[in-house]
Amino acid sequence: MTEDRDDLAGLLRWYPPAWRDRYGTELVALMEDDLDGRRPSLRYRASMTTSGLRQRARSAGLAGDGAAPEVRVRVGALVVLVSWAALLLGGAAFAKFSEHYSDAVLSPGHPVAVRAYDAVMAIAVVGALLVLVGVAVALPAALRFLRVGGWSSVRRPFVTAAVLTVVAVLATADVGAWAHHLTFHQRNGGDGIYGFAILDWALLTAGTLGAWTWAGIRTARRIELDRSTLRIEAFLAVDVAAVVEVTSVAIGVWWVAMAHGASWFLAGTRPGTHPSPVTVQLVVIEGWLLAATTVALFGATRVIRSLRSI
Amino acid sequence: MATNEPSGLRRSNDPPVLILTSLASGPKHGHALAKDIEGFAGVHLGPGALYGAITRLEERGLIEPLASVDRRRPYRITAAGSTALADAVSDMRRIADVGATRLGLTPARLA
Repeated sequence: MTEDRDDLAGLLRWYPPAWRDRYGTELVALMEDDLDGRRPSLRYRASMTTSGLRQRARSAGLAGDGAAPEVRVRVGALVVLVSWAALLLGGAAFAKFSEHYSDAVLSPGHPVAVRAYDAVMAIAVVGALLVLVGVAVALPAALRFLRVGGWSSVRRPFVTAAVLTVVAVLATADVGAWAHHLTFHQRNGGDGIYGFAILDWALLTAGTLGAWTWAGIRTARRIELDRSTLRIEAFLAVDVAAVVEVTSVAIGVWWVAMAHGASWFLAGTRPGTHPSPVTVQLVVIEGWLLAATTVALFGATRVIRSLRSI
Repeated sequence: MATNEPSGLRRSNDPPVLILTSLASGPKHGHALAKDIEGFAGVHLGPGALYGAITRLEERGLIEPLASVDRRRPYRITAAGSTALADAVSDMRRIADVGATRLGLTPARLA
C-alpha cells in the first residue's frame, strides 16, 4: 500500500513544489480511490504529467490568468529574452554560413540579397541595443536585490556563466590561433580535427549564452520592479520580439534571393552551376529561427494581453 | 477560446462548470465529485483535470476547502461560485432555448 502510494506520489513530480504542498496529499488520495488498487496505465501517467506541466506553466505565469498581471508581463518579457538568445545563436550560424557571400554577389544583379543581408545586420544591432537598454533599466533594481542579500539565490547561475565565459574566451583565442595556420580548405571541412574543435567551440559558446540567459532570468524573476519600469521593459520586449520576427524574415528573403541568383554559393559548388538551394544548414538555421520567432510571438502576446491589466 | 466572464466559466462541459454544478448539491471531495459528474454529465474527469479545475476555482474564490477527512479534502461552493454558476446556467439556458425554438423542438421532445 505504501509502495503504491509512493508510486502515485511520484506522479506529482511534474507539479510545482508549492502546488504539491497544498494539493498533493488529497490528489494522491483521489488517485487511490480512482484506481482502486490497479496500477496506473501509461495513458494515466501521461495525463498526470501533462496536468503537472500545465500547472507548472500556470504557476510560472506562462499560461492562464492565475498569476498577477505584473508576473505575466515579466514572464512574457523573459520569454522574449529567451527568443533573443535563440536568435543570437541562429544569427551566428547564419553569419558563418553567409561568410564571403559578397564575393558571390559582386555583380549588381543581386540587390535584394545585399539589402536583406544589410537589413539583418542593422536589425541585429537595433535588437542588441534594445536588450542592453532593458538590462540598464532593470539594473538599479537588480543592484538593490543584490544589496539586500539576493546574491546567494543567483550565485550559482552567475558563477557557472562566468566560468563558461572564461573557458569560451580561452577556447576562442586558441581556435583563432589554430585557424591562422590552416588553409581556407582546411578551415571549411578539410580538417576533421579542426572541424570537431569548432563544433565543441560552438557548443561551448551556445552553452555560455544559455548560462547568461538563465542567470538573467533567475535574477529578473526575483527583483522588485515598479510599475513604470515594468511598462518600459514590456515595451522593450515587444520591440525585441519584432526584431526577432523581422530578422528571421530578412534571412528568409536573403535565402530566396540567393537561391534565385547564386544557388551555387548556398550549395558550395562552382560558380555558374545551378544546384538545389535547399541545404541542410539553411533548413536547420531557418527552422531554428522559426522556433525563435514562435517563442517571441508567444512572449510578446503574453506581454501585450497582460499589460492592459497593470 | 477567450472568455469575457470574470468567473471564467464557459461551456456546459467545462470542468469548472461541472464541478460547480456538482457542489451545488453540497460539499464533496475529489472522488465523490468525479463520480457525481460522471453520473449527471457522463463526463469522466481524470485526477489531473479535476484538480486543475479545483485550483482555478479556488483561486477565483468560487469554491473553498473544508477540513480534510482521512487525506480527502471536501470542497464547497461559495456565494460567488453560486452566482457565477447561476449566470452560466442562465446563459446556457438562453442559448438552449434559442436552439430549441429554431429547431421547432417541443418541451416534450426536450425532456
